[in-house]
Amino acid sequence: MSGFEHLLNGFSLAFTPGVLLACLVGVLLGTIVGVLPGLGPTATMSLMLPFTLKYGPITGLIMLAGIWYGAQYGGSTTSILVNIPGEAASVITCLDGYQMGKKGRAGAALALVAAGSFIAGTLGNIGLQIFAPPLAQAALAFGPPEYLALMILAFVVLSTLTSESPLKGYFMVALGLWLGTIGVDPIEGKPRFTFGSYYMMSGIDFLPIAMGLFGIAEILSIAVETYIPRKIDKIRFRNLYPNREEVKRSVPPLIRGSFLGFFVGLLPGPAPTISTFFSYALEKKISKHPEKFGTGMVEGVVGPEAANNSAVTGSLIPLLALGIPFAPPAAVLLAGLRMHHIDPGPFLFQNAPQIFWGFIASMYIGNVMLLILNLPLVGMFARIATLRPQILMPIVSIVCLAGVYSIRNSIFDIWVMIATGVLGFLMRKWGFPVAPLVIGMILGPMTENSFRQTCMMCLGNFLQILNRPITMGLFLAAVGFVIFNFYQGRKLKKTLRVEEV
Amino acid sequence: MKTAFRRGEVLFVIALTLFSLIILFMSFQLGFGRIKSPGAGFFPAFISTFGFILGILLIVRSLRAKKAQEMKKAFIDRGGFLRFMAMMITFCGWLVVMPWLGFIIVTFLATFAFAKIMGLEGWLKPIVLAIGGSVFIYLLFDVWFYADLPRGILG
Repeated sequence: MSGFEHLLNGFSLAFTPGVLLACLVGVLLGTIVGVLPGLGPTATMSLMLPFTLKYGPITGLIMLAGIWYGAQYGGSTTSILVNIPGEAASVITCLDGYQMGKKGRAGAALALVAAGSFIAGTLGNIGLQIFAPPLAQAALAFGPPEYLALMILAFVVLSTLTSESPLKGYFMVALGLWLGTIGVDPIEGKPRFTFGSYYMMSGIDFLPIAMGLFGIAEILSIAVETYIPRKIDKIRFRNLYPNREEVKRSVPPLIRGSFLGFFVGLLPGPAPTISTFFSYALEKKISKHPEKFGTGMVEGVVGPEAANNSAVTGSLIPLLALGIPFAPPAAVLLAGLRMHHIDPGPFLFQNAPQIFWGFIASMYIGNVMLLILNLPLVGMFARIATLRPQILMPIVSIVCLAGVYSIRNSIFDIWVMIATGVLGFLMRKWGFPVAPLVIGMILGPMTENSFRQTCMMCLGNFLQILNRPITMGLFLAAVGFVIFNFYQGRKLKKTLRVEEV
Repeated sequence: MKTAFRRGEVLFVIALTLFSLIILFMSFQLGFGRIKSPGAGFFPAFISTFGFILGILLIVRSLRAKKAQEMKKAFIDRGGFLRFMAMMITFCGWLVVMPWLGFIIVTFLATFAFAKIMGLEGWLKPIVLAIGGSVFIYLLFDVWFYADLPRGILG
């Protein structure tokens, strides 16, 4: 069957009422959490994990992914209107978006961002459709050493990009990998680190950890801070028309942002956020008027917003083609699929192609839904941003509690969630990144298996790895990244010391 | 330019480093195996050694670092700390009392408590929110998802 026929089949699946509804719920929730500062897409996706169990894997996957890319649409709304980013990937939009708002062009900025996000999301989707199947095909040749090297590279890059100090990131990877070893050893059948607890024999469930680290930690962080109310001006539909010059100036950054975001999305780490910084820097560099950036340049709004949307689709490639999540929301997607006993990776395309193609089709539909939702309803979403945490957080708290309990009727899981919530709160306060811990935990069993199988294959002689070019290349890339980072860090320290003097 | 560290952060790193040491010890008890055929404790020993070394490096760095600017400011202010503790008590209370009182009553009480802790003013708004929250949880989990949440005294 050709790719086009697969895609048509995917559309026939995506147009069923249940899947359409899941897509709508996902993108709607995503837009809302994107608008709301605080609660991010990862927390919301974790919160929604229990609900996906009632439906099939494709419905659950579509809903969870809808939250992720929907949040990229919503995030810009508050950045433009009140200078408060709804989520990390929209921080850069504040710079010029808010200035456009101050000049009375908020409606135009919102419309251009919505249209730009739609185009970028669709282009990213085409990229996902083109690149994921051949990568999965190539990954069929991967053995344990290749997977081990790939995961080590992912851990190195992730630790460096998500933390102020790579040491803290590596430490969190180690902690995550250890959490992944809890339970019965798959080869020898010995219980490990269970501390005699029956509940820990099958390992620690991912859901309470994710809800604790992203949900409870967020609730606690909001609870300890003093709330400052926000005032948002009304946006009317007629104010949404951008003028011809704004449209003309938006097209090139939109295209550049889409491509840049897609390729940055392939990197481990918070790709949507990083892509916005890259895109902004690129637009400023090639602009004829770089000095005007920060004063309401439409290029500084559309480029980064296009980049964060296509970065999400780029981030889905390692997950779907290799079965390796490079970002926390992708880890939640993986956990959701595993709850349905589906392992993404090369065999997904052979054994269950309908999941991949149905998912692709739903993303096209989801992007259209988001465009329709975001243009006429932007005023309503803006008002959601004024929803006080005193009302929202109590409801989120009880959904966390009841949601985790409902999965296995286990009080133990709630204790795990609360404990990891406190841990996540402290980690945020002291600058320890959460992403490496989560990715380390979910990839822990796979990393250990690859590690042990590599040891057995090499019979203790690791020089044999030299005969495997992909493994060598990936290891060299990891080492190169560490050296580059160390060198950059020293250079930065030197510069700061000179400035201090 | 030296990196800034906070006292609590250093204690956190020390605790994690000691924890790595405990895991290392437990890993050896599990059986290390050989490099050709690693045992159940091989990988955990490897990562705990890695964690221990990183912990030591972070501790050394913190000892060499100058005191953080943030040290002048409290980690959390008094009000924030009290809210944090009250939230924790409510979370723990929900799960300790829920099996006996049932999830509907406990959810009502917890939502009310969360709303008051977060600073929702008056009595009417928190009560309305608590009733709405309990009904929402009941409809979502009991009616829609058939989750087997304990009903307690309402059983």
